Amino acid sequence: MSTDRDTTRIVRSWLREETRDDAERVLSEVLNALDTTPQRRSVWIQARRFFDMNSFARVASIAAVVVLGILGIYFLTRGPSAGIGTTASPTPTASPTPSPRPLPDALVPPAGDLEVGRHQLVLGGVPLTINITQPGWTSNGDFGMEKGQIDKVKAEDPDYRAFIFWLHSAADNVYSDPCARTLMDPAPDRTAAALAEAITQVPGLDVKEGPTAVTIGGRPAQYVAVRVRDDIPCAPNSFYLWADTDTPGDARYATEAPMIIYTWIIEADDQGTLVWIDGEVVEITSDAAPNELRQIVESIQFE
Amino acid sequence: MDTDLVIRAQRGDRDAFATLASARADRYLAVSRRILRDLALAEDATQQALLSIWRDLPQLRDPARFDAWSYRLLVHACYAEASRARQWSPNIRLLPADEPMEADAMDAVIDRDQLERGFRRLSIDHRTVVVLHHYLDMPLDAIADIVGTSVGTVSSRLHYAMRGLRAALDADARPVAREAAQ
Repeated sequence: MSTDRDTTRIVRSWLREETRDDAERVLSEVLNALDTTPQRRSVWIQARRFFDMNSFARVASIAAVVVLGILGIYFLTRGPSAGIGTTASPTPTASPTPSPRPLPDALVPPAGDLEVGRHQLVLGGVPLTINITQPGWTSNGDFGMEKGQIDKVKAEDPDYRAFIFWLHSAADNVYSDPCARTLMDPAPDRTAAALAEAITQVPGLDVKEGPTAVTIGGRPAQYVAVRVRDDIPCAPNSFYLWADTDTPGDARYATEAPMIIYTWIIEADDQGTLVWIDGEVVEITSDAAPNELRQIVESIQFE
Repeated sequence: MDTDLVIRAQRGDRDAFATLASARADRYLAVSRRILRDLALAEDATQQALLSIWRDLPQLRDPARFDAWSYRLLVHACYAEASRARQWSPNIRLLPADEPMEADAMDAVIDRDQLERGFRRLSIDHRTVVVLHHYLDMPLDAIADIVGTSVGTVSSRLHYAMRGLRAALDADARPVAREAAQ
């Protein structure tokens, strides 16, 4: 009869028995495949972060991380240092430019904590501002901003973790089979209404609100909120939701299941330019997080 | 860990990624081979994991967490390979050995064989926890982060797995050998 200690010793010894684990061939194939394997960068970005803000808030039963991902109609091309700050503290210009320069496709506030106040962004070539009224938001300077507050409310899982991610490219189709990564065929019209309706058709999502016609910054928009079900038949990061087919490889997938995603699709001009705002909140027990997210989106002003 | 390499790879620097991957590929293969108990499956899982790492690297928020994050992708790849393999995995049965053996050598063979049998009976969840903890010496909270569950669940899986392996070791000792049926 072996003891627990014997078993541990034997198992550890067995696992450490020398084997030839030479991955050279595998590595060679991987490196050869890099050229045909695009990175998912700066467009549909997923980020994760723990927040454990306040031990006194344990009974407050708020476990929310809000993510505001903002999607322009065009691919983001700027680097992390291309951010611009709040209107309250503009960055001095090093040297005057003799003539107006064209707007970049996208700019977001620089990395770091975001001050309360109005912040400038350029999304898909469309300049706009958002107003932040509560502290705690952080910009990553590249593709999003976030605010987290976790109170470990999932009693069955004390290591409860929230995901956040930002989106940077307008979707023009949704997945009719998210696990198989099959796009809806035919694709929806590239209108806010058609795309919002298409979101509600993605299997594995429960529609919580909408689609609803709203006004954002004086422009017509569509709003829809969906919940990624916890019984989706594949891993969340293999569960594809919607995609920008103009930029192959750029597709939005679920961060976690369950999770609630709030989407606004704004008709930014009369030429069909869309600005897509995608916010995400982990399952919560209060409305604080989605309410703040809504407040920020509804504060948008187009310039 | 060289976070500068990770950051460069995140920006699409293939040389930086190659350096990162070269330093880790053998270890990834060793881990996946121990979880999957099959070299071909382990190679497929390692390849898939490395490609996933490259593809999703820009999404890694904290470059200092590269190793934990990459092991998460490796474990996911192992799960996928295990699921795929379940459909065609050959049946394994035990036959009496023909040759007499020295007692110590025989004990070692018995231990290895019974461990192999016991390990294969474990679910992929349990195998993963055993390998990460007893092969990589990872603490339970790090494993919980990688497999995406709570420390309590990891602890439970480890306890269950080790109990199963102990039962396998305590099974009646007899000289055995294995051959794949058909």
